[in-house]
Amino acid sequence: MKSLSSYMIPIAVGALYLFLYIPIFVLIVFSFNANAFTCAWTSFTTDWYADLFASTEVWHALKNSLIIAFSSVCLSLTIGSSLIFFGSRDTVKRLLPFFYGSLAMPEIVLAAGLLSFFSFFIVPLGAMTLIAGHTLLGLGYVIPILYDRFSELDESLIEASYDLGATQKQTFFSIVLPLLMPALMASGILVFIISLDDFLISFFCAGASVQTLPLYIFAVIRTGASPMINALSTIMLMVSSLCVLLFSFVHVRKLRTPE
Amino acid sequence: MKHVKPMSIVVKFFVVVMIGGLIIAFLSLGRLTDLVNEKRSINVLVWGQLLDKEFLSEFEQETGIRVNMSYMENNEELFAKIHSTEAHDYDLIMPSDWAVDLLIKDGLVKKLNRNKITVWDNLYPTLCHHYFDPGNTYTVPFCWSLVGLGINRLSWGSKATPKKTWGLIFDERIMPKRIGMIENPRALIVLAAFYLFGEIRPLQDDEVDKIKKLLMRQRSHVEIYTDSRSEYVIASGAVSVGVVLSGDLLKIMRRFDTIDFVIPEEGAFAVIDSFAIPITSEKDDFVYSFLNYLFRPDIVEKYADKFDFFPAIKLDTIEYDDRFARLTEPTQDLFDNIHFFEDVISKEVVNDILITLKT
Amino acid sequence: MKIKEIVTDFFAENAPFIFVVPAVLWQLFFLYVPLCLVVYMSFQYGAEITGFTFDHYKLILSSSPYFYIIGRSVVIAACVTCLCLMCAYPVAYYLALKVGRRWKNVLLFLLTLPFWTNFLIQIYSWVFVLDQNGLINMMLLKLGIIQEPLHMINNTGAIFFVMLYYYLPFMIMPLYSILEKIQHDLLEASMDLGATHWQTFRRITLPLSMSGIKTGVFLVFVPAFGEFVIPSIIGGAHHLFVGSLISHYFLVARDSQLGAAFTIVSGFVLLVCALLFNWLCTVPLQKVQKAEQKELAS
Repeated sequence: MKSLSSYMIPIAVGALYLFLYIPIFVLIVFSFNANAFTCAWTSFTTDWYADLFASTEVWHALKNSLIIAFSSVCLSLTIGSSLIFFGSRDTVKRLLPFFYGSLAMPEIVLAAGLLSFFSFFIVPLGAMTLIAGHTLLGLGYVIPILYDRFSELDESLIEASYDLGATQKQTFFSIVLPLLMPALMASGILVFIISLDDFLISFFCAGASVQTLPLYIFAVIRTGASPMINALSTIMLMVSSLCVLLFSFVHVRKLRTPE
Repeated sequence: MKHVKPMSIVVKFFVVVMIGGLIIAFLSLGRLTDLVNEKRSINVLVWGQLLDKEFLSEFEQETGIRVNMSYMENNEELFAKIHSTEAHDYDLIMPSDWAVDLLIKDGLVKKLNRNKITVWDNLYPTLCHHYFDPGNTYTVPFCWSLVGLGINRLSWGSKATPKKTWGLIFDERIMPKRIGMIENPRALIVLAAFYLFGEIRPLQDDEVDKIKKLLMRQRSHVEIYTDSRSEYVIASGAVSVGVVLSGDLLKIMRRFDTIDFVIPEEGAFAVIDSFAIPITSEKDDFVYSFLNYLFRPDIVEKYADKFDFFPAIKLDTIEYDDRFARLTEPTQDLFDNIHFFEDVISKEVVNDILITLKT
Repeated sequence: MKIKEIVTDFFAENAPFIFVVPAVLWQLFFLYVPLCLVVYMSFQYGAEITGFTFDHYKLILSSSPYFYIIGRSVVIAACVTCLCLMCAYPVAYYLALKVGRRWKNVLLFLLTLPFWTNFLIQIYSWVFVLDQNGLINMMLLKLGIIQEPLHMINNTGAIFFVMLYYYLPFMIMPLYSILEKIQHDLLEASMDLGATHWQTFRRITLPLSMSGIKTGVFLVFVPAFGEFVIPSIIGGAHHLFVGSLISHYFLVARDSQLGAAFTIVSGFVLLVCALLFNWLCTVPLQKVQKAEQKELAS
């Protein structure tokens, strides 16, 4: 009995992972298919990758998306971490539900609300309005995550730092920041991905001159340029995997070197 | 820890106002950066299926004008973008016929300076001077398309050749098991109204009920409501007949010879996409030089080749096969028996029917 | 020099207030003020005429199609959440408690990798796979397993399937994060004291993971309720959902006032569902605790 059930769960988990990867597999394989149309495999080709590198629009959209994502991450991390650290424990604890608002409603409601807000106050739509919306989304993830980690931190470390005469600023930068680094990185990456992939808020709140990657993909995914988009996605997957692998390699290396 | 004396209300208020001001300044930063970048650039809003930036590098290099291209999926999106920013954002837009009608009525587009556009002689006369802009004072047509039925003979099977009528998607006696239908609610209702009453005009209450009944009966046969994927579902055989744009179907007909485009005998619909300039644009000269570039025969040919649409100017250089020959030129014959998706049905009726249909 | 001192002193003394304000103001400006604006708009006649009215609410609350639309979104979101919970829990359990550290990191990485692909591309890939002439049908036809292509798309089943695909990671992550914190010693002790696997699970693991379940349900139900892209692309746009109708009112029909009213009504329904779920979580637990206390007392 035990051997059977002890195999069933790993197999189920494996099946689930395969299920999660079907679209990824499809998009990678068909970024090399010469036939853009149906899923009949005609021949292997890297034409779509060539098209991708030749197209200026894709890179322009990607550049915009990256700039907006980086700005949103920086803003939300700064605002969030300064709230968590510098705010008094009681205030932050009481305010926490206030920040769940953006998670508590469907994104379309947020997007529609933002659009009404910007039209009502005649704020010109553009990169800034988009960054504002994405930072809002980001705060909803950054603040709970940081709060969790921060409240788990050893109070005595911080108190010891104050006792030894450090100012708040010194304590923040030398003690708290390094300890919170994993949480900061995790929430930063999360906000980055959310901003990069966000479609609804971009659709409602981006201006004329800000073409982001999801908007471009949305516009183009029907006209048979899909293989080029598949190629772009494959490249992005490879780049992000490489980054993560590199990072964990360096991290493991650091841990192994003797102090 | 040092004993901290509590902040007075005045100081708190001051801090809040300062930080609030910073956030507002942050938002207005957008305006500043736009003004800085904006000098030689134009913002263009077009259909994603008709244009992109691929062949514009020559224009950008010659004139130094940067073209920021945004894409839209349907005319409602165009309205939303124009209205939400009071038309400030765009310098050139590409509305369809019925959208032009509304834009002119709302005073959102400006009159064209006809002398600055060189393409008038090359345009097909049948595409000009229609109901939405007689005299073409506000718009210049870029491309056109017919809305008819696409039939996949393979999935139609061995049944008799289908009759050329809109009844193929409305009449249960001859409707096949699976059809594709338009998604856009307005167009959907205009089509149904046309089928039932033969003309395009505002609806009476009892007529609205008849349309609801017709659409509900049709629903059990509808495989998919779509505007942009109609040609794919016809090609894949998921539906035997679907409502489709001739331009879109052309892409498919080139690859498969079992697909036909049928112009129903009651009359097909036509869609003309034109360029118009929003009233708040201040870059008229840039826009005109861009338009003259876009309408150059070699550029039109490149785009028509890439996207398979029917351009509004006469081009001898594109080859169409025999099945298409009849459809490629907007002859007077063809246009005598066509209708437009005019905006005659009120918003409330459209909402009412849509919600009843899709519940 | 003196000014610099004054400024740094001011900041140091009043830091708790100064650094709380930006976050609060940001939420206020970009979340709560827009919401108030939406509420305000829902009571307006229209863009041209101003004036307080209940007309929009009367229309929505009196016509049955709106109930069906909201109801459909609730039912689909609830079913998808349940399905996700049932599929995600074993996976999270296995990942958190049964897997060695090296594999754990690899599997976690693999779980998060699909997030780097654009959402629309993933959905269109599913169209590719499930379509009449799609991957699955073509393979099955070629292998001779079926004669006619299966109808796997443009129906409600397909919507469930793809929504399950998309929301699973959102359920797995919180469950994993809470299950990981359960100490192995606790479970071992329970087994040593004679409890079966099932009893250990019911009495120890499940209650301890309750907060993770709540978070997971929250993270799946709320977006799933407002989801409209998947039903539109995968479901053939046969039905309207809450999200599609809101988008329709704001973008297509350009009736922001009615759209605002509908948004408020749907938001209210969502709130009721959330409260109901919260109540459901606490009440049975209380009942079980009372029953056990009775058992111990007798």
